[in-house]
Amino acid sequence: MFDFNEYWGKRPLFFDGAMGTVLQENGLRPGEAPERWNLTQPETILNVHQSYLAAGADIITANTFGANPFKCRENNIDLEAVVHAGVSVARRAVEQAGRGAVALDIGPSGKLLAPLGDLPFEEAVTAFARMARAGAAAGADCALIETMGDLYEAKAALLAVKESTSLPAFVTMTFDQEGKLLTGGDIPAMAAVLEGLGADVIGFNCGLGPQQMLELLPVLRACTSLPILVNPNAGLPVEREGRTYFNVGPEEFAQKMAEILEAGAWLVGGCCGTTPEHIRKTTARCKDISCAPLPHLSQTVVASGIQAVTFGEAPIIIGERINPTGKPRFKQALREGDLPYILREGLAQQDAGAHILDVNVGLPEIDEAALMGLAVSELQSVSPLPLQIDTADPDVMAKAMRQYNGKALVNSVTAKSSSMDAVFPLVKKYGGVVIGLTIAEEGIPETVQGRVDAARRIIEAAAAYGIDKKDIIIDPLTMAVSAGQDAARVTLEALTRIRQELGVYTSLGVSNVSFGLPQRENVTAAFFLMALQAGLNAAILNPLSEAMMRAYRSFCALSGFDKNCMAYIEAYQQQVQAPAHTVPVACSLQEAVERGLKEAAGQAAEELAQTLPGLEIVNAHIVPALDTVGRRFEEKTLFLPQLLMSADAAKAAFEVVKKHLGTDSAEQSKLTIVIATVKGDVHDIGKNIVKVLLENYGFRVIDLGKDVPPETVLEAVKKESAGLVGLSALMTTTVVNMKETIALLRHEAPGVKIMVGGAVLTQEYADQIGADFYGPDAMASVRYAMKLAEGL
Amino acid sequence: MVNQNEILRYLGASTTNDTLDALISRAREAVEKAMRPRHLVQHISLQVDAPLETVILAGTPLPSRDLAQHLQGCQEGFLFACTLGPDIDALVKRYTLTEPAMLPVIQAVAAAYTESYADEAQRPLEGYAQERGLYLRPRYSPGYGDFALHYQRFLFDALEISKRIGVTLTEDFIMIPFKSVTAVIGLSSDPSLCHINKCMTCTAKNCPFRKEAE
Repeated sequence: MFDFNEYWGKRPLFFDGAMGTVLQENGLRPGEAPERWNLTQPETILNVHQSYLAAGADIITANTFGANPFKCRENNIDLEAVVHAGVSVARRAVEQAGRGAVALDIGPSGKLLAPLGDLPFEEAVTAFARMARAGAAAGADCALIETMGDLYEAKAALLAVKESTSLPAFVTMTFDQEGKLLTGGDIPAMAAVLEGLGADVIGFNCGLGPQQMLELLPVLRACTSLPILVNPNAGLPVEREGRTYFNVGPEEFAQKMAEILEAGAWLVGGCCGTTPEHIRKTTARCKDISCAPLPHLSQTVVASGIQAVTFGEAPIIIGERINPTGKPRFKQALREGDLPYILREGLAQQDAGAHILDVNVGLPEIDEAALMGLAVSELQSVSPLPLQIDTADPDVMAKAMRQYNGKALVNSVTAKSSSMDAVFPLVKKYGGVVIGLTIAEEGIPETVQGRVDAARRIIEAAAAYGIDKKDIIIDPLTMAVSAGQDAARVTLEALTRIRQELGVYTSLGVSNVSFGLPQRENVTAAFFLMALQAGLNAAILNPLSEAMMRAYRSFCALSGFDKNCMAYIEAYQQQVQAPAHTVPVACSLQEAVERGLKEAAGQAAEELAQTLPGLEIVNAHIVPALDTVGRRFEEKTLFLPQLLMSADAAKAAFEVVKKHLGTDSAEQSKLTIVIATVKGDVHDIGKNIVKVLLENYGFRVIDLGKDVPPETVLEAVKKESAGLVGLSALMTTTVVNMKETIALLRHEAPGVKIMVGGAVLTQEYADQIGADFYGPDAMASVRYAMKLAEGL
Repeated sequence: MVNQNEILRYLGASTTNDTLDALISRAREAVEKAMRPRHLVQHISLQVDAPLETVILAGTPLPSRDLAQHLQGCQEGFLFACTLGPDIDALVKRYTLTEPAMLPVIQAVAAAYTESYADEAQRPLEGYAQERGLYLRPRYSPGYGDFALHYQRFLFDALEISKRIGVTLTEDFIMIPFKSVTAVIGLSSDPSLCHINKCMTCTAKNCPFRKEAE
């Protein structure tokens, strides 16, 4: 077994160069799986390894890059056999040379992880674990997870290696010249996540040449304390006559690799287009360069898969609104599994200036773990902001931290042993920054000293778990000033002392301070400013509260955190001092709906509701307007976006009517419609448009989403007693699944009507697969549903 | 600048008006900000067998009559892939939640930008063809005619698409990010088959986006 510790920092370690491009020169066809050659032409592979070892490489990379279960299945290759053969032939080369180490190579799966793609996170972990176990069993000395373009997939692979083997794990990712991953993630996010998960070495490979990696290297060096590995291509790919060439020769490559080592890397090698000659020149040129000592960094950083947030600069705003406490509407959304509501809360806070979103979905009567998982995953698919996982249940916390794409902020741990024993192992395993609440075994200390002691206890206990204090933020607890005259002062003094004496960052949930008082925002905003002045680094608050954000932006401008006051100016220059009440647009309800003016429609409906019964507002104003719009759409004098705007305006008016009549008496159609994009199809724009229209025309719509199996449609039809099913398909290949779904429904739920739509469908097609109705456009579906509803 | 009429065509709008123009202009801004276009090209050898049933691309036989028909007379060509990147998908998701009226607009604008970018990325190939007195056939993608969707796998492996530009395939061979294009482009000395519009080789005769031969 190769002992990396013997080399770390004493001299540079050298990786080998390209395998794939060398095999292509030996006759590998485009599209052919290189891993197969481990079984069919092991001697060719052995030769490549031997030539790299002879060139001075210390670590050779087994030919297992794409030997994951998905590609093995497509290519009819036995995973365990091909990984074993690949590692074994590399081992053989090392044994013959009498020196060197073998890296098990783990490349990306070629699939995109859910929720954006169709590969569930745990399946990815399982897939990579199979490779890792096979590689370890065959005698690999380390695992090289490389060419990763998606931080989430890198996390899955790294977890798999750490959980299923004891191999040192090296992770290199592929960035573009701007320092972005293919998924958009940046270098600080990558460093935070991989370091948090316990990678042994991180770095760059593929995509760029040595010069471009040299330019990115200082960014990485500034945000990790780990050894860095740099494996560039032999320059940038140049397309000449339709062929790809790499333009950096061995001599120039070696020179640049020397500069890369001098800039702080500890390990270097080559990726696409590099040859044994590149490596020979590199080892000769670089073998005597001494390794720069690793920096000890103490930045406190959380990250999503896209971006990082660093504490200690401008204060951080953590949006608190994804939390059911005291919010009946939010509780209702949780009970109904209304995820879009939660996501909209997230987006609104992001737009209002939050840097991190707190996620708390704890209600006694729901499955918190499941909903937390869903909320975290879906929020991450619409927002690049890092999340704060907020739960009192360690099991929920464990699941959420595992599945989270990034390095989470964790809310929270206390100074009680039971809490620390439950939370710290999770932070150690998954990485994270944890909020430590100054709650001692006997409760919340009333004195400043008591809170400082509790904070110290948390920091010391964390250290015993191997968690650095940079990954702890202390919350000295905001108490209601109405309940104790000293409450605010104690909190602020504790905050100052914790910052000074313990050297950790601080956070507060500020709104508690005004509990029990009228006009709470006055007190909360003042307290917030005082806390900022006392050195507060992060606050959990409502970013939609203008009073809070005004205080925040002003503070940043006045304290030098807002360069040239740009953020302040951007937030307020457009904002005219609004009069106390906006003047309603003079516009009838009918006109507002026809023109798609949402606010005006709501206002007009509100006015009408003062004098007219709800039913008349609906029948005499909203419905005729919708009819007009529908007709114009059919006459092609207005178009789909406008139809949707009108539908949205009508919805605003319906909601006013509902509010005045109560939800039960609202004009809701008796027809329940189940809609879905069929199995295999992941494009759902069309289906979503139809859904919005149907809902806004008053139908109850059960949306099953995309890629929906026939059985799920049937189940929903039965459960919801649906009268109509709408199916959408975009690809000719998935119309087959539409046909299957219809066949199942005909057999098991013969009463239900079925309408179909989608780009590839025609009336003829619809008839062939046995649909009742073909909707060539969204409005046609609405008309059909209205016709059915009339018959009820 | 991507053509406004092209966007309106994708939107299914025969004329325009102020509301639509305003929505399109917002969508253009959002798409331009979100897109990170990338592409890949590989020159390949290409053979069409005599009974026009199979095309051999870089040594790999792919049975498809329609593709064989389309590439008849070509001995070489290119494999091509491009994408606007993953942030367009996120944009769509965002508008689904916050402003559904923008959905068809974003979809139309992104579609027009994808086509326009693909045309742009293909330009150097036209130069290559011209220098040799050859002509490019229109892009032909898996899913057209009987060129089965599962041949995506071949293009993805040959071009290393996932690794190099971040486009991935689902189990059912659908591409994510969704604004992505893969295609085979033939090169031939016979210009007669190269002028027809790309729609004319497609069998979806009643497709609303179908362009008649110009």
